[in-house]
Amino acid sequence: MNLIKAASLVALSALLIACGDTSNQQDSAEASSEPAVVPDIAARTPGYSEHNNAYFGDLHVHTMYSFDAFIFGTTASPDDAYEFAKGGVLRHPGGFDMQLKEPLDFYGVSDHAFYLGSLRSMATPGTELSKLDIANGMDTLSDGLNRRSKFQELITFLGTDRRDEILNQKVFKEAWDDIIGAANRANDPGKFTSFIAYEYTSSGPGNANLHRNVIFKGDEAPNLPFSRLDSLNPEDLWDWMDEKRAEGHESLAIPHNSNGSNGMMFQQTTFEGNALDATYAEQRMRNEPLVEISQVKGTSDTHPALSPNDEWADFEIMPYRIATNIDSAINGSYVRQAYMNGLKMQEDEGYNPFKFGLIGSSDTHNASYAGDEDNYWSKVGLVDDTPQERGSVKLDEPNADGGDYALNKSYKTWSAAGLAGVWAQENTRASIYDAFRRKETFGTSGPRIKVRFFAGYDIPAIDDKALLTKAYTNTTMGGDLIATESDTPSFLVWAARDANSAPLQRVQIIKTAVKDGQTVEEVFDVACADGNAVDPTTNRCPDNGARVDLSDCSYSQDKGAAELRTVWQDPGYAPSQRAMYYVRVLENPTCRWSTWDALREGVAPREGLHKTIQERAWSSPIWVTPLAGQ
Amino acid sequence: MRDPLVWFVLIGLILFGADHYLNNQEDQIIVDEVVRQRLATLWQTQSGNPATAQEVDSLVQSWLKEEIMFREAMRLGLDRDDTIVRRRLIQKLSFLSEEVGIETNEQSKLDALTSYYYAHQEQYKTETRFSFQQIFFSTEEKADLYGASTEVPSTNWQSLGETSLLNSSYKEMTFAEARRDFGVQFATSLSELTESTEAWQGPIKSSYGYHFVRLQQVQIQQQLPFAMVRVRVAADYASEQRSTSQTDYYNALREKYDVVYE
Repeated sequence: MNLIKAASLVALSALLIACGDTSNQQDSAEASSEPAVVPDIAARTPGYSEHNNAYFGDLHVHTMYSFDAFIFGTTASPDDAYEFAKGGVLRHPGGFDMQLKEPLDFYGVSDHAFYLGSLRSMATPGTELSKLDIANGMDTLSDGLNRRSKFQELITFLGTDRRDEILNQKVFKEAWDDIIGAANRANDPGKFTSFIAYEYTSSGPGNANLHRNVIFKGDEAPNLPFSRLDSLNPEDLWDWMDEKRAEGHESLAIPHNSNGSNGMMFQQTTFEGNALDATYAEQRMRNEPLVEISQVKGTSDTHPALSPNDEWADFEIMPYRIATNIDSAINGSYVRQAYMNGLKMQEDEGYNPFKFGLIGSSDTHNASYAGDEDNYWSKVGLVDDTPQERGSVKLDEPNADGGDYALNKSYKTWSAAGLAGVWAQENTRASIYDAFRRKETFGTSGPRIKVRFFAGYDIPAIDDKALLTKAYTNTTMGGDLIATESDTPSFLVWAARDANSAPLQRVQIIKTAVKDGQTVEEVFDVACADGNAVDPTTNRCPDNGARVDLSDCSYSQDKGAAELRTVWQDPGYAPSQRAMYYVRVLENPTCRWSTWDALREGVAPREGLHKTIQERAWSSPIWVTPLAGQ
Repeated sequence: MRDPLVWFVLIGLILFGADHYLNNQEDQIIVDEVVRQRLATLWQTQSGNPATAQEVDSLVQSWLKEEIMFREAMRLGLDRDDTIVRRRLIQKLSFLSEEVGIETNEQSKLDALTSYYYAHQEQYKTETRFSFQQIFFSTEEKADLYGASTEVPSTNWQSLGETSLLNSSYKEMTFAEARRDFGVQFATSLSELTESTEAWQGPIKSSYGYHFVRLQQVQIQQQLPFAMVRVRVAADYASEQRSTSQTDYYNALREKYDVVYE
């Protein structure tokens, strides 16, 4: 084994020396019998920066091995998914080509462990699983309607009872090994990082979504993933992760779609309904340092009902429980409220189970990230691949209830969204994974908006030539700041636009704190585009006048900023107050995907949907620990 | 022999005999060693254990049942106008047609791959990569003012211009990466600059502002030798083969049919 590895390393080095170009690494690695050999870990890859680079990726991607994706018509493999992320062309099951305008820096295929690969096997003639009654009709699924009804039949069948007849370990194992193999084949240190990953698809009563993606640090993973068939209780997943970590498989889990959890994702009891305690909080934070704030099925920052004083709270709200048209309870389903409840628990009980950082990701079920409003193919294959099916354009004939639009209530609330950003020294698994662990991460609703965030007592002046060197001696996003008696902390925020999306309109700091035993939240504009100043009484920037022309979706070219940066102090800061701060960066308004759909079809945008949106980024928070009660 | 009755009886007898003979043929199912062996092998692949004599008997019985039911279904014409059967048959035919024309001989396979490689050399090139340094100004006025008045010092140039979230040095960036990080206008301008380790050129415009650029190195696109990309060539070739042979196969079949549009 070691001999083979050494031999292929020698062969690889010889090839690399022969051509003198590291971009050839992948082809030569493919030719050897071993998976990609990782070069000397001490060597820095091109692009290395001691002050960290922003890298963008998607950690939530389904392929043909996911039970639902397969039903939706997805035949793309994990290898195909990685090729797509690197800029390749992928054929949508609906027959059109999908390609990213800009390739991604990292990607993680995260198929549902629940019946992994099983449905594909059921639909393959000749396999054992294809002979089951429930497999009837699976090899001849055709249009969206037919697929939707088979999906509902299967999800009811699979979701109600344990279906031992489908539990074929050989099928799981083959799929899982291919997922691991594909991730290792695609990994290209310095250029592209892939992660071995999967989705733990648990739910509470009444379709309360408790899904998590599990991301592995290494190039090996446990024999089989832990799935909802093993337990519906996420605490059991954490036990398993702890156990595997002790065996050398480091991983972290990222919950998503808290918006569809019916209040369970951030409930203040255990899964079984018991009181939380310090052990629970520690275990949760050890295993779940991050939360996915934005994705195709909506954004989970906050809800207008929870944040009535936040004018930007009504953003890509997806109000249903996952895979249903049933309303999801608001309390316990949104990130900002969880942050507040976490602070309160820390204050009252001495522990905080919700001290997580933020990322975005897509949850595509087409193997293909779709975060551009004007390059959107939604996410469930043949079920929503046309504007009519996803509810942005009227049907040719009225629907079964006599309405003009497709009956499904949820697709129209879906979003061209979800990008993960990290600040890492280089584009390697180790470097990016470490950034996840220290929560030096941010999420966006799609564009590559970059945001840096520091807090401390030694924040340099904004035009300091060594700004970053000095800023890094302070606390960075995802970290803790300890209050002192004499000093007031300063916050450095620095955001840059996506070079290929709209300019920035404003940068905000969102503060939540415990004040007189109650949780409070405040939104401060801290930097405005176009030379405008924040009004100190309202804490708002004036309207910068950026507009969208709905006749062609063009937007103001002379408004907005390429970069916004400022040093800010909290006017309400008190060293005795427990608080946390995170950044929200807003772009100028642009057309929503549903408006693009309507424009291309030559019809008016659907009433009741936002015609334009303000794309945005959220940083991971910085927590301030007060003097008393440290 | 001229009596029609004799002829009638004779012909009747021949027809009866022929029918009897043919029916016997159709109703006969031969269970020989070939069948037993096939069923036993299948059993072993699925279960992992060799079949016992008793298991073989039971396999034969269920195979018999399947065979008889199948023959009856065919006799009743149940395969006709059934979409599932049609699709499955079409699918099998497509698989067959994909096999057509795939080389099995090692030498001719290699020849086919090399000629495919030479015919598609464009696909097997490295990307052009740019290594450069940049000094940033947020507005054209500031950049022009600077450009007109100052000589860029050879050291400490990183402290010039305005600070931004962009890096001051970039190594081995492709056109697509430059477009991603600076916008298309900058990427296009960059690719038109002259390589020079000395000269600062510009200012050129990006999505962020204006940049003086020192384009230190351009690694021109290079052809990758066949030996290095053989695996990729083989995959591309196979994929092309599959699609051409399917098309050719269909076209050949299409020739045989006279289609009447009414």
